[in-house]
Amino acid sequence: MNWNDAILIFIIFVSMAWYVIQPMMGSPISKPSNDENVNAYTRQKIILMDQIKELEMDYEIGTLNKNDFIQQRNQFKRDISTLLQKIKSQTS
Amino acid sequence: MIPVAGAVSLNLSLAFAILTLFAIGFYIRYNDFRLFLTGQRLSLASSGLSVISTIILTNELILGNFDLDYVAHYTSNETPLLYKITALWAGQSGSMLFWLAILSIYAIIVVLQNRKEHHLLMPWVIIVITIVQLFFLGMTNFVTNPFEPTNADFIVMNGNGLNPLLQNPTMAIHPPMLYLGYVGFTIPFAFAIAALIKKDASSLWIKTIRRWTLVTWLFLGIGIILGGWWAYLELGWGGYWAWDPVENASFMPWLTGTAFVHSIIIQEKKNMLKIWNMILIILTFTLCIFGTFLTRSGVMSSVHSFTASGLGPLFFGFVILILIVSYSLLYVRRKHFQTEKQLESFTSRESGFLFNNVVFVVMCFAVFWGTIFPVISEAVRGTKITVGAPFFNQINIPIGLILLFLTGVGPLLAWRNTSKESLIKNFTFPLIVAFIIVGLLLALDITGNAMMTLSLSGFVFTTIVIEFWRGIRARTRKFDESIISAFIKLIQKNRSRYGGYISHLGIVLMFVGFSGHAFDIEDEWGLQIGAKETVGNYEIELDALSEEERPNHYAYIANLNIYTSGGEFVTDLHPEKRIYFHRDPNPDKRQPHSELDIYSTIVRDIYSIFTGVDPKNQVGYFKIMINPLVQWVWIGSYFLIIGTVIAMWPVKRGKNELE
Repeated sequence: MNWNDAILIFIIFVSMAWYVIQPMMGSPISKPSNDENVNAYTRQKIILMDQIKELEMDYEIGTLNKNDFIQQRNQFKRDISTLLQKIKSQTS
Repeated sequence: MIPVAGAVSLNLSLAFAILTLFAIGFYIRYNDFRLFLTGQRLSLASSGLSVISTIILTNELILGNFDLDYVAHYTSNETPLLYKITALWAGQSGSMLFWLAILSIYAIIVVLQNRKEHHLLMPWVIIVITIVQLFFLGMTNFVTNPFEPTNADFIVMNGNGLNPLLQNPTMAIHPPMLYLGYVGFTIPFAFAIAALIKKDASSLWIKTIRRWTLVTWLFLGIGIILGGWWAYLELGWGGYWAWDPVENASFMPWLTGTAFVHSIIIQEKKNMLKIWNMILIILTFTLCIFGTFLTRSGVMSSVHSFTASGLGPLFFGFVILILIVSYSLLYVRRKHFQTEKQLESFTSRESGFLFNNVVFVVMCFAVFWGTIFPVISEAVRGTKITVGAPFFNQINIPIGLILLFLTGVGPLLAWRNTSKESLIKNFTFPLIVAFIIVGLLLALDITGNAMMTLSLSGFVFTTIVIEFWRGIRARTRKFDESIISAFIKLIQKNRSRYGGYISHLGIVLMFVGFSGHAFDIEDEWGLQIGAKETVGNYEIELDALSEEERPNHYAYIANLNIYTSGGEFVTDLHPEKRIYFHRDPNPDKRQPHSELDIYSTIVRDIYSIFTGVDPKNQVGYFKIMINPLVQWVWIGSYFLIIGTVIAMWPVKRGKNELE
C-alpha cells in the first residue's frame, strides 16, 4: 500500500468516525416518548379509517349484510373516538 | 490501489457493525438516546462501506483487473461489458458480497425511513439486521474474500471468462431479483423479532412491514419467474420448471411468504393469527438463508448451481441458530401474542385466509421433503435416492388445485360470517361456468388434471370478474360514473383489494399455461439440407446451415422453415450450436452450447434445439417441441407483477386523515 492509499483510507475512516460519534458530543438526551405515542395512535387511526372504507365497499358490493355492516362500522367509530381522545390528551 | 480500498472498506464495515451492536446494546441498558443515534449512524456507516466495497469490486470486474483472483476466474478480455458486471454474482465470494450489499442498502432505507418511528422496536430491528450483516461480513472478510489477489507467480493477461450459460440477458436480471427477494425478508423478520422481544402485539409494525413484505415477495416472485424463463430459453429441455433443488429453494420461501402476505391482512384488520404470523415470517426468513445454503453449498446438484464450496456447514449452522433462537423467543413470549378473538364461522373470509395459509405451508413442506430427501437418504442408508418431478407433481398438483379453488372462494366470503343466502348468490354463477367448462372439455376428450385446472381457472376467473363488476356497478350507482371511469377509480380507491384480484387473475392465467404441459409433443432427428420431418401438425425443413466466428464463441447457425401439415409457411427459426472458448488449444476446455430459437404464439410455442452438427456432411441434429399455452404463463406473470405493484402503491392521505 502506498502513501496515497493510506491517506485516502485514513480520510474515509476519520470522516466516518466523526459522523458516528457526533451525537455523543452533546449532553445526554432521553427518547422523545410523546411524539412516538401520538404517531402510533395516528397510524392506528388510519388503519381503522381504511377498514371503515373497506367495510363500506363490502356492503356496497353486497358481500356484507346490513346488520353486520352497521355493527362493525359502529365498533370502528368507537375505536377511532377512543384514539382521538388519546391523541388529544397527549398533545394538550 | 482501489482493490486495497475495497478490502479495507470490508474490514471497516465489519468493525462498524460490531460497534453498532455495542452502541445499541448500551442504549438499551442505559437509555441514553445519544447512544441510539450513534448506533443508527454506525449502522449507516457499516452499510455504506459494504456498498462501497461492492462498487469497487464491480469496477475491478469492468476494468478486468486480473490481479484479483475473483476477476480472473469469472471474466476475460472477451467477456461483454454486461456480463463483466453480472460476474459480480457468478462466483462464491462475489455473490456473498452482493448479498451483503443488498442487505446494506435495505438497512440504510429502514434506518432512514424509521428515524422518527418505532423508537421501541428500532433498536432491536437494527440489532437483528446487523447480526445478519455480521454473518455475511464474516464470510466475505475471513472465509471467501472477493479481494484475494491472484495466486500466480506470473502476470495474468486474461481470465477464465464467464460460464456461457450465464451469458444471457435474463441471467443479468434473474439473480439480483432473487437476491432482492431473499435478502428483503430480513426486514420483516427483524421487525418480528423486535416485536417479540418488546412484547409488541399491536398491528402497527405489521402495517409498516406490509409494504416491505410485498416488495420483497414481488422481487422473489419475479426472480422465480425469470429463472423459469431463463431455463426455458437457455437450458434446452423445453420446460420452465423441473423441481430442481435450487428452484425449490426459491419456491419454498415464496410459498410461506405468500401465506404471510395473506395472513398479515388478518392481523392488521382483525388482530388475529399473531403467533401464526410470527411462525410464518421466521420460517420464510430461515428458508431464504436455507435457499442460499442449497445454492451455494453444493450439497445438491442443480442446473442452477454454478458454485460449490465449503460454506455449507457455516450456512447450516446459521440456519439452525436462527431457528433455535427465534422459536425459543416465540415460545417464551407466546402468551403476549395469543389472540382473544376466535374464528366465528367456517364460512368467513378469515377462515378462507387460514385455509389458504395451511395449504401453502403443506405445499412448502412437501417441496422441502422432496428437496432434502436425497440428503437424508444418503445420511441414513448411504445411497442418494433422488426424488424427481413425478413425485413433486403427484403431491403438488392436487395441492395447487386446492389453492386455485381457494383463490376464487376467498373474495366471495364476508368477514366474520357469510350467510347461506349470500353463499348461494355468490357461488352459483361461477360454479355454473366451471361445470360448463367441464362439459366442453369432456366433449373434447380432455380429462384429468388439465380438465380440473381449466375448469377451476374458469371458476376463479368468473369470481374475479364478478367482484370487479359489483364494484363498478356500486360506483356507477353512487357517483354516476361511466363504466371505464368507475373501473379506474375502483382500482385507484381500493388498491390493495383490486391489486390483489389482478394478481389472482395472473395466477389463473399461469395455471391455464401450466395445463398446456399435458399436450406437449416432441421429436428429434438429423436433417440434411432440404430434408423435411414432421412433428405434430407441423413440417420442419432444414433450409441452410452456416458458420460464424464471434468474439467469444464459434457458431453453427441453422435456418429451419416451419410449415403447417397443409404446406402453408408459418415461420423460420434459427437455432445455433455454439462453441465457447473455441480458440483454446485444449479441446476439453471448449464448451459446446445450444442456443434455441422459439416461435411463440398465444396458442403454442414451436421450440427448436440444435443438438449437434456434422459440418462435413452438412447434417444438423434437431429436437423440436410443440409446447401449448406457454405464453399464458408469462402473460400471467405480468398480471401478477402489475397487481402486486398496484396493491403496494402508497395511498395519498388527505390532511384530515393525518391529523
